This record gives sequence, C-alpha cells and structure tokens, in this order.
Amino acid sequence: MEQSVSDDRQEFIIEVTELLERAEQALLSLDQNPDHNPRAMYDEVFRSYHNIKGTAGMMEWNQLQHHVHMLENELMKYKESAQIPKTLIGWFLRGNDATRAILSDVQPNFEYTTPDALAGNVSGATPELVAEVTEAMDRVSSNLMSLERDPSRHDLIDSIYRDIHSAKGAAQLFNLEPPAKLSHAMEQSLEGVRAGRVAIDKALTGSLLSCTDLMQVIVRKPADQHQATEVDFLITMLASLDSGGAKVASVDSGLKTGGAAPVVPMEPGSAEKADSTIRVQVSLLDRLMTLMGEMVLVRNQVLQYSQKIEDLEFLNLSQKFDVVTTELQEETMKMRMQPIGTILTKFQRVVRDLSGSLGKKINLTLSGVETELDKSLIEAVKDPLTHIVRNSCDHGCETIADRQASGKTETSNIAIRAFHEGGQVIIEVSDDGRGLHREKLLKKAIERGIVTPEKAAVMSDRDVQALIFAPGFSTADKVTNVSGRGVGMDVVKSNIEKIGGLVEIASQAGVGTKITLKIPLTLAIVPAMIIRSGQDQYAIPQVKLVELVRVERNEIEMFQGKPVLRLRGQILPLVNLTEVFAMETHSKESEAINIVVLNAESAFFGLIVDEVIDTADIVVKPLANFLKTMGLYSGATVLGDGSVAFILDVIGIAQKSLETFTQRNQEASAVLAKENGELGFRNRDFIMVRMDARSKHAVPLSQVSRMEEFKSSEIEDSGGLKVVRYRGQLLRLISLNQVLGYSAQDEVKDVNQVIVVKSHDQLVGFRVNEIIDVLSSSDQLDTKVKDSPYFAGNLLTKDEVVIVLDVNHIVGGSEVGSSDFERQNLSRNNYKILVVDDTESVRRRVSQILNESGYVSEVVAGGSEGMKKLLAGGASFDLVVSDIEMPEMNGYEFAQNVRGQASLRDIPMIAFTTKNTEEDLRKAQDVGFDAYIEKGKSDLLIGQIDELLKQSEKRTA
Amino acid sequence: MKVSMVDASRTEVVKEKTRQFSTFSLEGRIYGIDVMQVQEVTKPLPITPIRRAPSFVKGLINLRGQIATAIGLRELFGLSGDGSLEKMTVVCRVDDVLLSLLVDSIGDVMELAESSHEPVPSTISGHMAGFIEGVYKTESSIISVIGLKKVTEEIAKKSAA
Repeated sequence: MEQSVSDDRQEFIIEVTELLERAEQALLSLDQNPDHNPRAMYDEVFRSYHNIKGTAGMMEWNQLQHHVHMLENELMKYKESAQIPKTLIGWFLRGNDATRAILSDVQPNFEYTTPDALAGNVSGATPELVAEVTEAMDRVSSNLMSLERDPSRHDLIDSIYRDIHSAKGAAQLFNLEPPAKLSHAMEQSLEGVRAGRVAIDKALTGSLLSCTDLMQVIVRKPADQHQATEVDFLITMLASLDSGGAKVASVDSGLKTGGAAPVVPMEPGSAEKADSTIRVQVSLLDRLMTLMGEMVLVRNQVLQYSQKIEDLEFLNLSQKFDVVTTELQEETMKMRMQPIGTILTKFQRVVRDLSGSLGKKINLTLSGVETELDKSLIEAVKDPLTHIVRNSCDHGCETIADRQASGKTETSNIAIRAFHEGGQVIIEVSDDGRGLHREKLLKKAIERGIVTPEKAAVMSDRDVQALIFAPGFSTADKVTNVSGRGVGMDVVKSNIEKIGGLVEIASQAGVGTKITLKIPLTLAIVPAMIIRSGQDQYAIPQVKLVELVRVERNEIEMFQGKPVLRLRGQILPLVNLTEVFAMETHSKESEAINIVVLNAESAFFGLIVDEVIDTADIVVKPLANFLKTMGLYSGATVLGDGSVAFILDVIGIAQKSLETFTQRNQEASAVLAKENGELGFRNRDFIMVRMDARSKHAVPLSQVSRMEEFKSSEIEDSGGLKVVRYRGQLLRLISLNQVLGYSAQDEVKDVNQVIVVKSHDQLVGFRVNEIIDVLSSSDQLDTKVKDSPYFAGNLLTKDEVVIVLDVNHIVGGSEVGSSDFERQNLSRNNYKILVVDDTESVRRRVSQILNESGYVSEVVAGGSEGMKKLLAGGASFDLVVSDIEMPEMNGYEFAQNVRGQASLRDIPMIAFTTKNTEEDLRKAQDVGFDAYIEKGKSDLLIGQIDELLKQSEKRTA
Repeated sequence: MKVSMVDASRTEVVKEKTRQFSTFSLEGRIYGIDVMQVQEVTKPLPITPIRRAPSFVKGLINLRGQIATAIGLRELFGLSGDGSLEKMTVVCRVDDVLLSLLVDSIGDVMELAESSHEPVPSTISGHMAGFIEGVYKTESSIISVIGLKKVTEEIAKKSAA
C-alpha cells in the first residue's frame, strides 16, 4: 500500500512499454502482411494507444497524453477500413519511438504532420472543422458586405481579420494546405487594409468574397486539383490588389509554425463561450425529438387515466409529471431551433451578385433574422426562399432605366421580414418592383392552356396572381440564367406545402409584389383540432383551420345540388365528412350542424363534422405510402386514450370533393349575389334602430362604417346641412326622421346617436333616436311591400316586421342640389393625382390605395419636385395629396407655392399628415389645403378625393 | 422445435444453407415469413378503421406508440372463412412500414434448408400465386413463403384504385 511515487511511475512505464510493444507488432504485421486479419491488428494498435493515453491522463503526464492523443487521432481516420496506408506506418512507428523518448524524459524529435496530410491525400477535415470554417466564412462574407455599405466601420475589418485568422489556424492544425494557403493570403491582404496601406474597395471585396466561397469548398475537398488552380489564381489576385506589395510567398512560413504549435487564436472571452456550447449530431437530436414525442403521448395517457383514479398521491404525481414533461418538451424543441438569419443573411450575397449581373441596383433589407424555427424547416425553406429572392431580383425589380421612366428611385428594394404569428413563422419577401400584370399573366395562362379565356374573364385578381404557382407557368419574356426556366414557383409552393406551410402572393402592378410564406414552427408536434365523424375521431392541423361555425340545418342551402353556406356574404362550399368517407349518415333533421372552415391552398370550404371535441398537440406519425396516396389522410397520431386517429389531408379532401366545385364557386357567388338584388344584401346582419315610428328600422351592417355619438354642441350648420367634424373632415348628418317623414325635427338631446354609413365611397351619418341591437337573419328580404322609395324591403323576424332601409337611396335622395346622384359618380380613371411625400413607404401605400380605387397617380418625394411636375405636366393633374412634414420644402410652403401659380389656384389639395392638432388644421386651411386627413385614417382618403373632385367639376361646369 | 431438413436427393448435409421462417396458419394451411422481417407476434389490438381503404386493409393499430397497418390476409388471399377466426397478428417491417398481418394461429420458427425450396406449384391460383415466393417441403407439410413486397405492392395497387 505504501508504494512510493517513483515506484508507481516505474510500474506505469513498464506497462506503457508493453503496450507499445504490442502496438509495434501489430503495425508491423499490417505493414508486411496487410491482408492478414487487418481489423484485429488495427484494433490492437488502437487499444494500445488508447490505454496509454488513459493511464497517462491518470498519472497527469500531460506531454505523454497529448502525444499519444495525436497518434490516436490520426489512427481514428482509418477506423472504417482498418487499412492504414503503408506510407503512414513508418510515421506511427516513429511516433512510438517518440513515446519511448518521452518515457525516458528525453525531448522527442517527432514531426506530427503526417506525410499524407502534407501531400493532401487525407480527407482529414472533420465535420467540426468544416462547420467551423464554413461558419467563419459566412460571417466574413456578411461582414464584408456590411463593410461595403459602410466603409467607416473599422470594427468589421477586425472581426473579418479574426475570422480569417482562426480559419487559417484551424486549417493549419489539420494540415489542410490549400485552405491554409488561401486564408493566409486573405489575412495578408487584410493586414494591408488594417495597416492603412490598402483601401478596401469593390475589387478587393469581390476577391475576398470569392475567397470565402472557395474556402468553403476546399475545406471539404482539400486535395481537389481543380480547386488548386483557382486557389492560386485568387492568391495572385489578392497579391496584385495589395499595392503595398506584401509577398504571398511567405505562406510557407505560416504553415511550418502552424504544424507543431496548433494554437487557434481566439478572441478574448471566447474560451468561456466555447465551453457553453457543444456540437451535437443532428441525428441525435432527431432521435431525442422522437422520444420526446413518445413521452408526450405517455403523459397524455397518464393524465387521461388519472381522471378515473381517486388516489391523491397518484394525481399529485401525474400533475408533476405533466408539468415536467411540458417543460421538457419546450426545451427539447428549443434545442432544434435556429435563427432564420442563418439562411437569410446568405441572401445579401445572392442579391449583391445578382444585381451586378443583371445590371440593376437592388437593396436588400432583412428584419427578424433572430426569429427561430426548427432546423429541419430552415433547411426546407432555404431553396424555396432562394428561388423567390432570385425571382424577385430578376422579374420583380426593374432595370435602372425602367425605374427612372416610372418615376421610382434607381435602387429597387427587396425586404425580407420574418416573424412569429399565431404559432407559425411568417416570412415575407416584398419588392417595390413592377408587380404582376393581370393581363400579362392571363395571356400567358391562356397560351399555356392553364385557363380558358372564358374563365379568365371572371377570375378575381387574387386568383390571377395565384396563377404563377401553376405548374409550367413562367412570366419572364425570355429565359434568363437567373430564373425563368418554367420550373419554379410551383415547386416553391409544393415544397412549402410539403412541410405544412402556405404560400401567398399579393401584387400590385407597378408597385411591387409580396410573397408570404407561412411555416409551422416545428414538424414533429403540431397543434390540431380533434373532431368526430360517426364513430371515428380525426385530427385537423390548426394551420388549415380558419374557424368553427355552428349553424342550424336550415341555414344550409343547396346550390346546383351541392350544399353551401352563406358566411358573412361569402358562399362557402360544404363537404360532409361522412360522405367523403362514404359512411351512413344518421343525424337527426333538427340538429345543429358543426362546420369546420378549412383553408386548402387559399380555397376555403366547410367540412361538416358530427362533433368538435378538443384541441391537442399531436405527434405526427408517418403513414404507409399506400394510405397517403388515397388523398384523405396525411398522417396518423395516437390520442390521449391510446387510440389511433388519422390526420385529415385537407388539400386532398378539397381536391376530391371540390373538383368541379372550385371553379363554380365564384360563379355561385355571383349568381347568389344577384338573387339578393342590387342592394348588396349579402350579409345577414343588420343594425336595428328606433325612430319616431312604431316599427323598427334596420340598416344592413355591410354598409355601416361605425356607430358614433355626437354631442349636440358638435353639430354645426353648413349651408342648410347638419355637419360634424369627423376624422379630419366634415361628416354630413341626415336625420332619418325627416327623410322618412316621421317628424320634422329631431328630439333635442345632449348626445345624439349616429350610424356612419358608407355609400358610394362617401361617409354619411344617419341620425337616429336609438341604436337598439344587431339583428341576424338568414331570411330573404321581402321586397313586395314597400311604401317608401327609401325602403329596401321588410324582414320578418319571429315577432315583428323590421323595415330595412335603402342606404344608397337615402344618401342619394338627400344630396343637396342634385336630384340624380348617379350622374356625378366619378369615372376615376379619368383623374390623375399627384402624391407628394418624403417617405417611400407612404408614397407606395398611397399610390396603392389610389390605384386600387381606380385613380391614376404619380408620386414625388418632395415639394420642389412636386412643383416641377405640376408645372411641367401643364394642368394634367386633377388633385394633389401632400405630406406636411418634409425636408427642403414642407407641405405648407408647397401649398403656398402651388396656390401662387395662376394655373394651379383651383387644383384641389389634400393635406395627408400625422400632424393633427387644431392649429395644424387651421394652418393647412390658411395656406390653401382643401381638406386635411390624418395618415392613420387613409380609408377616408378616397371619399375625400371623390368629394373634392366632384366639387371642382361642379365649379368648372 | 427445429425442423432440420435433409434432402434425400443430395448427400452433402454438412453446412447446408438454411433460412428461418416464422410460420402461421390460415384456414389450416401453413405460411411462412422470413424471420428477419418479423418484428413480433401479438394478440389483436384495437383497430382504427380506415375509411375508403380496400376492405382487406383493416385499419391502424397502436403498437406501443408505433403505428402499424392491419392487413386481413384471409381477405387479401381470397380465402374462405371469416375474420372471427383471426386470433393472432404477425407484425412485420417492410420498407420502414409496419404491417400487422391478421392470421388464425402462430406456428413455430422453422429453419428450412434452401434445397427444399421449390417454385410455386402451378396448381395454385393466379391471384394467390402472386403473393407466394415459393414453397418449402417439410416431412409433415408444405410451407408457402409470403413475399411481403408483393403484399405491399398489391395493397398500393388496390388503394389507388
């Protein structure tokens, strides 16, 4: 027991010597007789090294431990084949000699660099190294581009330098010559920049960016001869750019020192950082996720069981189990989460390169890069997103000349925005390019036979835009090498849908395009709604779910033999799940009906189910292929009670059941709308009001904008009209009692209830005695008995008759000085409006609003520019919408200037601004604005424009 | 019980190649499935029916969190008798899909010599022959070996229809 330390050591040395002997024998056997049981021999060597390393560690003999570790590491590379190259056996033998030297306390003379590694024959790059270098190069590349935008950021140069330096260190450590050489050259050229000898210009940035790309390739394939020439080329290139003339030839010196002293330079403090993260195989995470899923199921079963048990101890335990499992689940999910920035930042590069090759100026802005989503999903959205971004650069953004011609800034903008919303990750890619042209799209679609000309005529804009997702559709006039090969958006769509996501497009010709991806947070566990149909339970993924509706059976109508439901003015096709499954229906006639409104590729339909049971987080289990191809089920899951339930394939069911219905859907809407008369009574909701009459009156909710209360003191007289100031403009009040002839004067009250209605895009207030209630009715409007032109008809409720008012008629009939309102209805596309605002997004939004409602608009960024336009274009503008707060010439000055011109004295001007005090308003009026609208209330803009243009027409007429 | 087969026509008994089969019976006949494809044998578990699937696809079962598709072999093969006779299931894995085959009863695992293998006798009906890879003769019986690939192909064909 009382062994001395030296005895201990002596014994250890003997042991090691024995082990070395065995390793030696095995190595020699491998050398001379490679076919004789190589696996056993290899294992012998490996075991020996491993034991020596372990014991050396115990003895705290660091030098020995490190030395043998290096040998073992090298040996590990041949574990698979158990074939050690002959050239290396000598190296291992010399390594053994060095081990003996260390044992005798002699400094060994041993070159750790293996001959093969030097010759580049070893694919020695470990996955960790590849990952490290790739990440470092990604950072370098993104920092380079930031630096290009903002050359004053010297901190970036340092960070770039650091990353290159560590990549070089790592490459040297693993004896990967080409990456080491290249990174060394990169480092050299940056030293020039750091020393102030060389300016970091476009050429240098470009070369360095190419280097980062090449680095990522050669770190994987260090021995590839094709790359070698490219490496040399880039090194020469960098050297030539370094005007200081630093020689690239000194690469070798860097390599030599790197061989023996593998020191990876680290930024200060990164040691702790390194300790706080570890790299884990993705497959391990996947396995963990699967197990987590199982655990959630077991938890669910335990909870369900616990409801039947009265054992308090058990209940208590199951509660705790529930809490811990939930937490565990959350943390496990987080483990796989990665910020989407890992792929988004790559697009900086894509856009930069593309804009160069396309001859456009494109600026990419990213937001929400920190938004996290499951790693596998990040991988899955990468390609679709790349495609969208490339498309946007190629087709969306115009050339500089085109942009100038349409009055836009030279630089196109693409914005990618990622954020969480309702358990999904939303990724929006928007550009301010040329947008989608309806006619152009339709022409292509008809040419390609995707739609018939008849159908094209009735398609909504939304459906037309969705055409770009149709297989075989490409709008590019010519195929470019960037995009437009006729494959594309349909693949994007199907790839996104494969992972349970959605793609939506919104575009406005001349203004831009926005493509929205909605991606579930994770694939393994999805929130779902559990429903029952007959005896079966099914799960419906929440992403497909729009809403739940419960209606009486008689509310369901038949349209061309198919059941439909009128839901808030829309015709919703219905599908009975029991019919889909060809099961017997045995529901009673009077039953209320549960409808699950689903979104299948933007086509909505209602699924009739017997019962909506609950929501649950379900673990998706894959199905056998032959079941998936049925187009009814997308997966299966195990419910809390241990039974199996299918996950419904919403899209499949829609395709199966709505085949002939989808195109008829719209026609149905149109027909039914017509059936309802011209009044647009598609909505079943009405606001009921009390007047000075016995019967109640109702206003269709679809035409009601707001319900307001005005104090009597707020109501002013304006030329025989009652008006109130409302949202920055005057709101005309109509007394329903007067119009309908119930009484000559409204009751005098402190507070007057007013229904603000919208008629012909104009807001008007209906003064009523009292607003009673909202009335919902599915009944047809009885139009037979109408004793006033202002009545649309009667509605029979259970206990009374309600008179429904014809809002348009009342507004039109009480219009001052105009007997026929319709004649004045503007044909908006005859009018041209100038929008002046210094904010790009506002300009875009306003011109969008204008274009949507039919007006023609032009935008300028400032007052003086606006003046130029107004004067140059002669009197071709009919109205001006201007901001107030603007640099250079503000809105007041602009208005004064405009009014100062004789030709522009009468042009209607609207101030559209965020300044909203009384004083601002007065000032605006003083300088000559005709109306004043707050930016938050852009919905009022069109009404006001209509109004002003009408007045100006009247004046000139 | 192990049944080692010695083919009378051949004398070299040493080191003869053999295959192991899980056997089961349906309507009194013995069938075999390569033991490597069989995961386990269980009593029938509660089945979730699959609407609109071919009738021999009985439904899904929950096998300790894994989901298997239950197949009524009797119906698939077009044999007489009804499902109430199916008292056991053989769970097999084909291309990462778990199939749970409903059978009447389970037999032994048999080790059968390759030499006793014979192609499907021409007397077996065309439909049935499609699922049989071949037969093995034993002293007491003839064992029909089922090719699971052929079973899944048939299911896929029927399901698509």
